[in-house]
Amino acid sequence: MAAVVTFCVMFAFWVVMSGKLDLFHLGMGVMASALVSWLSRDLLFSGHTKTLGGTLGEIGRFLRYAGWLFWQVVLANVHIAGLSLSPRAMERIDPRIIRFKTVLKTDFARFVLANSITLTPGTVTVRIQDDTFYVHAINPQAAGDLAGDAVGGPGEMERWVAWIFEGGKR
Amino acid sequence: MLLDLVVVVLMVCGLLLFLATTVGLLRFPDFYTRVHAAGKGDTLSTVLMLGGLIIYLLRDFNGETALTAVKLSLIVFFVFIASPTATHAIIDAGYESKVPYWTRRKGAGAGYDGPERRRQDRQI
Amino acid sequence: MEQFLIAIGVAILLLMLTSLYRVVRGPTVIDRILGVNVIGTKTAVLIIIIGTLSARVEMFIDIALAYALLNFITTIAAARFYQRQSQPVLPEVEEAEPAPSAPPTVEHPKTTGEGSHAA
Repeated sequence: MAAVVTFCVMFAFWVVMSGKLDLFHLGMGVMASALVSWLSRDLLFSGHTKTLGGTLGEIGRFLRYAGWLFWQVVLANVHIAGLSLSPRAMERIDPRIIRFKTVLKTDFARFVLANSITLTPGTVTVRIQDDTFYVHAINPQAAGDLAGDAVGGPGEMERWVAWIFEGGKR
Repeated sequence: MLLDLVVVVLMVCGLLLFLATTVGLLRFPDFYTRVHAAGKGDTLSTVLMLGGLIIYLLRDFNGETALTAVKLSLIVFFVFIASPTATHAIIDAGYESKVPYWTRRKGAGAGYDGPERRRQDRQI
Repeated sequence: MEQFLIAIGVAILLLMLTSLYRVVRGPTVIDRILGVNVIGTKTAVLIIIIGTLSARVEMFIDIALAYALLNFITTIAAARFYQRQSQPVLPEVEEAEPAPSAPPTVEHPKTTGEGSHAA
């Protein structure tokens, strides 16, 4: 199952990249994508034993998340550009490393959360050790946004990711 | 003419973000804050630049330019996945090899009352 | 429009030359790797601009994609190599909860930026 999905993704990529639709190039594409998907069959969708409908639901929820994430990317770029072009940048930064425990279980969800943290304003994921995230924040404001509410529950982004992959409430 | 204006605006915005990335890379005090500047500025500036070029290419629309536009969007998609991952690899390597980091606090958080002071379990 | 693209390309080239300062002077090796990564991203965009100028985008775009991929792999490989080389012997961790090694907190903020950790 995973190998078939990998093959389809690889072959679509091949067709887009080659742009030729004759028998020779398509045959080469089939051979190359079959080889690659056989070699990496346990790499792309490891531990992913959900049904097709569940996967499609995940993709749909992820696309809604991607819209929100793109807005965060715009904010992050404007934030860092304002910070680095500001004449008083040294007074405005106050870096620190914070850590927090995540509620996410699967590796892929943690990967998505780590990349999202890196893309959003003022924070970069340093390391994931088991279920603990180490995050470098450029000022305490960014650290506070990430860590969530005062009770210690998950922050907004972590709730998004949990909602996508693990059926939690957003 | 209007499309040309859109292209110019997009590419100048992308150039501004590239400029901010470079300035941040040069003047930030330590390695970790430089990673902030380098890792964040890459994504949106590439999107703006390549978006401007896609619009510029699609002015004479045919199959070939459409395919080129799809390939350009693939580059954008790839940058969105690869840039945070590369940033993470670099900052983890620096952290592991104990690159010193710049901090404003003399003692660990003494006299500071920010948002994460209230969450003792979440702070180093 | 062509002059505009040329101007953008020249500006990117100047920014790349400026980023080269971090590669040459950067106090640690990892700063240099970071500078090379930033230059590589700009290069991929510059390649596509050159392709647009010479009206051969469909050829240059493959080069740009390959360059972006190579830049990503180079960055990760260099970072991993530096990480391994800077820690030749990993100590045996005996703690119940192995904590990751944290960099030392430095007392004087102004002096730590440049040259305190020459590689």
